[in-house]
Amino acid sequence: MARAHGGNAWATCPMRTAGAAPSVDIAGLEGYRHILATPDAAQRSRRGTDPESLATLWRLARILHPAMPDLEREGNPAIPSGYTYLLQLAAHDCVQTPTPFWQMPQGRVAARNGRMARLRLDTLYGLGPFASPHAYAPDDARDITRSALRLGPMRRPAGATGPAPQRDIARVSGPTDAAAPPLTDPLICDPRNEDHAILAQMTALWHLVHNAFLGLSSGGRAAGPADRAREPHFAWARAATTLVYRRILRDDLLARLLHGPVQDRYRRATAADLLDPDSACPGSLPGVALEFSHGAMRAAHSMVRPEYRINAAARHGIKAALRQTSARGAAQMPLGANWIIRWSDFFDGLAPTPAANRSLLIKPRYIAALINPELFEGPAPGHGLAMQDLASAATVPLWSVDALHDAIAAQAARKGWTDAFDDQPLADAAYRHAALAAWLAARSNRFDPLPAADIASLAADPPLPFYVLFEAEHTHGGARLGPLGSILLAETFYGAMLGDPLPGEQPGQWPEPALRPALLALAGALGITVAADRLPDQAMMPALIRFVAREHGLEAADPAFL
Amino acid sequence: MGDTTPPAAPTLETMTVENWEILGNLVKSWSTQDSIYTNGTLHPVPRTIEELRDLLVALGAGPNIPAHVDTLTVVHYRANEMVLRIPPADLIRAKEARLTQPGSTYGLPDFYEPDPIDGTQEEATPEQKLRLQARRIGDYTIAHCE
Repeated sequence: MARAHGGNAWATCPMRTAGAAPSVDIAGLEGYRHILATPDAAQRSRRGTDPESLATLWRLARILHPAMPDLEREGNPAIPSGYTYLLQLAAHDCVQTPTPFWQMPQGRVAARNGRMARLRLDTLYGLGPFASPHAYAPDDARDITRSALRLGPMRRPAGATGPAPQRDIARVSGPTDAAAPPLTDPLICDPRNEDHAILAQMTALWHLVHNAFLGLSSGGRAAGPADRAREPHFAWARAATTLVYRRILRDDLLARLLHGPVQDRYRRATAADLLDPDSACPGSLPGVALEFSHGAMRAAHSMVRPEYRINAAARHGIKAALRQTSARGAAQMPLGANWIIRWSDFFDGLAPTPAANRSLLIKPRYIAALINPELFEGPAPGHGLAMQDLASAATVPLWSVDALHDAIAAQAARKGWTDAFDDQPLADAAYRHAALAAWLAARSNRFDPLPAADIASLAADPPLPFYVLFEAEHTHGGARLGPLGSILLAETFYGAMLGDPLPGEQPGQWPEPALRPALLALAGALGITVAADRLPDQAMMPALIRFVAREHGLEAADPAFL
Repeated sequence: MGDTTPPAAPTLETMTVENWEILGNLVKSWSTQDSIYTNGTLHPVPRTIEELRDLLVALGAGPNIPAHVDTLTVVHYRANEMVLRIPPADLIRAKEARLTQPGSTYGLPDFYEPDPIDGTQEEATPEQKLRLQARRIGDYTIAHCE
């Protein structure tokens, strides 16, 4: 009877109360591993997919979706919102999983990480022009070779004539008899990069970066068959783009996001300095650390704003951005002028005033839009993305926070680090448990108080995605990650770059050579001649965007690019 | 669908929720005094905005209640009454100003797009119709005609 009436205002966990689902065995998850080593039973989080654990997570997820009025006034002074979505792109460059862990039925393995090479921009390039031709534009009418990443026309304003500016990702219609077929399919290598309109614009920006580097080399064609002649130019553009991208991750994104001493340590590290030697072997197995992919990286979800200024004439909620895609709103594609990003609203340094959109502070909370049932139907009703993150982490029990602190401290001592956690009070287990308990008790809802047993259990064994957020707020007021979250990100990001260097990259060299000489050396190694004075001179997002604007003639574009 | 506005227009935000069905079933439980809509628990009608906010958070409805909304008025009415709720003039004027901006839209709650607008209800199951009813009740209970 209750179900027929659609009752769903749950006061108790709606999940199964009998028949515990088994957790997933790491051995069945190709492309993943645990950081340092596979934790034994005593080292793993006790929070699995049994009904009792899920019920506790469900109650925690409620706390992670509080009511937050007036978030428009909040913003991280050090992190404009463009970095939120650069981080999402980088996450797609490390992990590609077809099935979210929380959706795996009864612990049956249906997930694997298909991203074999990390931080090489495979998320943009796929397997290259021959294996992923849909993402590449023909070099000429004969279409023998393809070197440039595709872009697509934006929606032409009503009454406008002439070709529409190529400011969107490319999109096409699926097979249909419709007279005006909707653009259902984005022509990009990783469809997740069209999860929402802002990320699609970030993807288009990086396509423009590649094409700008490609344009710099167009004068020097080698002799021989067309495909062989074009290959060095494509290789140059891809390598230059990836080189700049990796430097931006190190010097711009991670410098803003990581706990300072952790960033300083890893920025100067060699592969031998990494805590986990497997971090520097990203070419094939071993896989990406689950404590990164399903723990620390989830912190980015707390950085999402409810609303963004897109350009001078448009402001949109994140829900609207999530619907403005080929996957969810094909009839509205391509993106119109009110969705074409003016990048000075997302990155500092492009306009006299700071970017309008700032990341929210990194705290244990998700904005209300991320609970929306149409967009985030999770493993339990009414708990959205927070419950998805918590349930996914519980599906493959990760290191417990306590055991992970101990294991990292022990390994850091063996590596000669003076203090892995920078003498932060949360490194002490008793202090950490008490701080977590106090935080949880303070957020208990009068209509659904968190049981004392939950508070004790969550304080002693917090889910890693939650703890990383808690640590960020406790250590830095949410301005950046704390030491543990930073180590998990740094091991993965720096490990991928140290273990799989690009041509011209010299892992561990500090200070690094300036960007321009590095790019020229790269061009020289490929036998390419480029105009040195047109290369970007700084591996920071504002400098890269200015380079793109100059090379593509977008400095005074309409819609505005800068 | 309902959260697109131009930046230059005056804003005067109103209360919304992310899960209209949860709110609608809660209102149905208050109307009928039947807890079947709320999974066996009959929650008291809130007396303050803070109580309403905390209850909706606890139920997972995802409330967005702007800070300037600080007073709660609850009206119970009978079938023979027509309750005319006259919206505040500043809300109407703010919405009119916003709608004159280029690119602005008149926002509707998300659920109107997939449910009643995209097609007829001939093929809808009873569960789907009851879900639509709950969502509409949720919307109509807190919405302003603006």
